[in-house]
Amino acid sequence: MSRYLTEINSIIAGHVNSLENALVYGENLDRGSYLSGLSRNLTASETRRIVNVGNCEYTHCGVGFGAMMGGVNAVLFVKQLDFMLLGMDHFVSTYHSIRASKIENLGSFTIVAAVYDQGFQGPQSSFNALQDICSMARISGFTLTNSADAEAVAAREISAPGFRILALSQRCAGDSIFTPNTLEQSSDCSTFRYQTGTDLSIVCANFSLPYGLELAKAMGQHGLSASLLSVNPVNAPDWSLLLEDAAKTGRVLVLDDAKGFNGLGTAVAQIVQQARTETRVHLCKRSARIDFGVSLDAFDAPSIDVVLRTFGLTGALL
Amino acid sequence: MNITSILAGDLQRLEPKKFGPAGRMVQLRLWQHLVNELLKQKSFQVPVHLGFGTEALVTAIDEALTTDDELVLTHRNAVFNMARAESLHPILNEYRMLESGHGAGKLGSMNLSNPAGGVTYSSSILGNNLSVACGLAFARAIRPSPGIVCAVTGDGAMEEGAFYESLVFARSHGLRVLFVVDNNDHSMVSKIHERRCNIHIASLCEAVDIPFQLLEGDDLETYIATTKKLRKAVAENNSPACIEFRTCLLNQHAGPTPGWPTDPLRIDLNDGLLIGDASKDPIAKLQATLGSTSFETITCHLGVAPLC
Ligand SMILES: Cc1ncc(C[n+]2csc(CCOP(=O)(O)OP(=O)(O)O)c2C)c(N)n1
Ligand SMILES: [Mg+2]
Repeated sequence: MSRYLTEINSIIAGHVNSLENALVYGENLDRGSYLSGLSRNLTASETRRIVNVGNCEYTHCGVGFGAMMGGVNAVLFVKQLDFMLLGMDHFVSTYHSIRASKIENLGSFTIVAAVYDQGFQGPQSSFNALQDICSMARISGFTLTNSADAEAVAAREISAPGFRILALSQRCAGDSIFTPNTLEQSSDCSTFRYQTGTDLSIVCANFSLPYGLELAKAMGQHGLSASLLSVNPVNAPDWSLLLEDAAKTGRVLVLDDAKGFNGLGTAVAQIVQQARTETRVHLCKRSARIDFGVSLDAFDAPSIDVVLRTFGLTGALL
Repeated sequence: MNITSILAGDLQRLEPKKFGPAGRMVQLRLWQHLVNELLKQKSFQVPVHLGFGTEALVTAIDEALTTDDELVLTHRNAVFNMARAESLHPILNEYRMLESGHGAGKLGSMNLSNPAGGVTYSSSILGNNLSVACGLAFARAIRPSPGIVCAVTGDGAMEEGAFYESLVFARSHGLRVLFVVDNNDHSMVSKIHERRCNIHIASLCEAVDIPFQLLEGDDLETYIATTKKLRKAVAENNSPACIEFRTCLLNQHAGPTPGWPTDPLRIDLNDGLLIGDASKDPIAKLQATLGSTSFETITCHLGVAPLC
């Protein structure tokens, strides 16, 4: 079984290496551990430059948008999503202006960033809510949690005109990657479904898929069947797959391990509730309290017993 | 060398009157060795950025600053925090994420501060601390209080626009900030020429009319005298100044050294306090300057004499 980070790297590198007219850049991009493995296997060509750059993220983000306006495919590799907060102005203002203008032959700009939220790096190194950046800038972001999503997102996004952020979880770097047997998806990659059930829809936001997988498995062990889905913070999302699943099960559990007040999990719970008023929706959101330390900062995913009780399900342990 | 028994001791700061800055500087080396050995044993979950090779710089700043002054640091704050601590234990306990740590186990390593020791703030985000230092210096002007703010940065962090902006801001508003650049020609795994053009800081400072001094060679007396002179200028002129120290980082970017089995860098307390010769190791330089007898008086007192 492939390791999460190795597999994600191989998928992303595969797509980046087929770009033409490309600027592939980042801090320590081609040295040392290659950003803990994130930027390995990148190859240069006559029209694809691989550039190691200094520490000036505001500039990196501006450069990406400029290159994109000049018709280039820019890919910025970033060790830690936190550092992209320095690029917020470009995400919000620069990209908004670009979208409002008519630029011919617009290139692409993709940021590939690792998310560090294990809890022990320090108070400033725990930003994990990609969705909050996306919400503020009204851009699309994708949290890559498994090989099928990663492939679908990379294939659709990396060379597409415009801007997006792809994020992966450093917390899961050494874990075996989840490789779903089946995959249904919305065309905009806002929703993926890996398994279909009749008793409960488990909808995972941010990097909560591993928790969702455990619960889906536990449901099976109790003689119940769950659908397992994940959602991304995408601009103007198509939620039809999600709503179709919710209508079928009538019960939706939303998991969201992003730290913050509201965000994608809250939005999804609300959308389902409003569109399917008869559906029972329960949101399990990481607390927004400012705590630090491995135990304090962890996502409190509900146990299977709590889930069964919450939805009034009776399962018999098989 | 029984590291366990050294760690079991009180690890108190050497008496400044008796051993002076040289004693402090050697103690900083020993304390870093202890942390490095603990890192090798995987004693901490937090990644610590040690500064073997920066002891002369850190000692000079520690000596030059008065009790009115404050320090604003970066991710590589471990040695500065050691210089400002009465004992190593609260630092070790912070790295263990215990309540008895300097930051009650909530700051970890990269953000470690210790207001009681004059370390107000540390940031793991490159360039972040520089504008905060300007704000702290502004507070000293608005709620009149003596002293200066010393803001440390690196050859990597100064690539952030915040470095330039803070120089301009501090100069424009007459802020008492001493900017210190620890130039170790290192940013994670990139040397300067591998990532950018050279930046002539003297010219940058000249452009915004800020006094600048370049220090290299690790001579402790010169370092202290020059840092004191610039600190005095900042305090008296109500205007910033900048010092660039050329240093040699003798350890890996973060974590233990060696960092992996085939790591060419080796640091082992059992081999002694020194890591290189006087051309790159400030402790070897100090030993040469002091002479073996004086140096051994210090190491004897620290309980590590046979090592040197
Ligand atoms: C805004 C930001 N970008 C990138 C990083 C990742 N990073 C951590 S330390 C470091 C190198 C900094 O080099 P320098 O300022 O010279 O300090 P040194 O480690 O050499 O002491 C980098 C790039 C960061 N912490 N913050
Ligand atoms: Mg450096």
